[in-house]
Amino acid sequence: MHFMANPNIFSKIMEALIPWVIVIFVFSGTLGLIFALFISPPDYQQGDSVRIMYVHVPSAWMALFSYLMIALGSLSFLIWRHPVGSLIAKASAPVGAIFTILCLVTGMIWGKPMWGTYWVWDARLTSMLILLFLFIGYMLIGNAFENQNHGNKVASIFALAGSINLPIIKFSVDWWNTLHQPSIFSMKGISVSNEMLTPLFLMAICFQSYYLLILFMNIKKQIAIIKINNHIILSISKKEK
Amino acid sequence: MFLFELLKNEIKISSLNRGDSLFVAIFFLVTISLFPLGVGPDTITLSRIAPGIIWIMALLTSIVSLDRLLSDDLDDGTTEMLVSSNIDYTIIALTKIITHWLTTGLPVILMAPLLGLALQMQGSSIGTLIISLFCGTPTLSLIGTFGSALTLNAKHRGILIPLLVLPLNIPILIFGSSCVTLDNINFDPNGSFLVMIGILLIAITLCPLAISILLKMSIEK
Repeated sequence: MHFMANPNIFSKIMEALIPWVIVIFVFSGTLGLIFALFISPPDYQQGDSVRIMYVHVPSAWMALFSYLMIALGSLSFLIWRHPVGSLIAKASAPVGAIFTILCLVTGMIWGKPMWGTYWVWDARLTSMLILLFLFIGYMLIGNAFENQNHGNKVASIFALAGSINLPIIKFSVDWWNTLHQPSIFSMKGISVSNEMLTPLFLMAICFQSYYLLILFMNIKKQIAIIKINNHIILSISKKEK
Repeated sequence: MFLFELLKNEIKISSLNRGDSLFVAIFFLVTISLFPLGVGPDTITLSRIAPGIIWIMALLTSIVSLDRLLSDDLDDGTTEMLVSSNIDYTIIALTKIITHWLTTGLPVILMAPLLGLALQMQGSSIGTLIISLFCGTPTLSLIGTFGSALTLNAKHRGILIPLLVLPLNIPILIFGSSCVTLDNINFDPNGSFLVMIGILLIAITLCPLAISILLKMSIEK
């Protein structure tokens, strides 16, 4: 993985991947929505409102995945001083926060007809809300310092401290008695029929490629900002000579 | 041992400006006495929500003094002096954590029985509350000092510290107040105690390390 630590090489890989990511995003999104809204059957208990799962579950997965990327990027930035690690971590935060909000909102819309309430304070929902706070805290602390490099390091340390929340979210449905459904994938096997698994799988690919697309665009923006700043500094120092 | 020397010094300083620890105690007392006025003086309601109130206020009290905990010494050069006389960053971090607990955690624990009685709690659940505070407040100090170290030299510290520290402290709040709630309905609260001690052990191993790294970064910057 270390060869990717050079921002120039990473940019080239990114440029090569972006068209493919767009193709996968559009293709899996269209196919996934067709399957989710028309082909897959309604649930025997929940009826048509089960279809909100095809947005809710992938966005929850991606929220966790985004935070995992922040933690891993921060770790590689702190240990090996990889600049790309910090870039990935910073670019994952806003998109991760959006996924978390999407997950919470779709869950609330589904919860009203199914549970009879928009919100319950059970372990899964609460830990997801904490994840949202962690995303917001991470974004704010990174920008709170005059020295950007110092801010990146501090934010990385905070991200690692917050990563303790990830296993809590993942296993909250197993450790506590919650109103939230247990995980679809567990040691006992898959608890959803194939007709519902196909759209879920397609939507997961769609969300993953959307994440990658936003991540790449965000990193490109950050690299451009760094280049512009360097250029300004360079031109000022030339003038002074 | 440098630790005890430093600690003695810190306690001397905080006893000189007694206003700070007095402020913490008064904050705790006044805010808690607001709850019966807001919720209503109904005995059953009060005794049911009392552990939660005391735990929430213990959490908030631990945050009040955080923004000056590390930055005062950093700004007037004390930390730099200590470091240049070969005292380890971890020792400095530990001193600050212990001082924070002595000035906020301990007063809260001492005042809790009285406030518990005022909020109509039963004798046995007050005992459970005290034990849970003993297991939980050191973790609040550890994580709080960590949050204080994160925001050294940052802009808008006043908003950042609660935003960073409160989410990390939520588990303590949940297990702390659940101890008393479990005890009230005659369940064994030992599980919650053990979880809190577990969290405390993790925090003791990781927080001083993280704080020392952050202190080092803000001095060498």
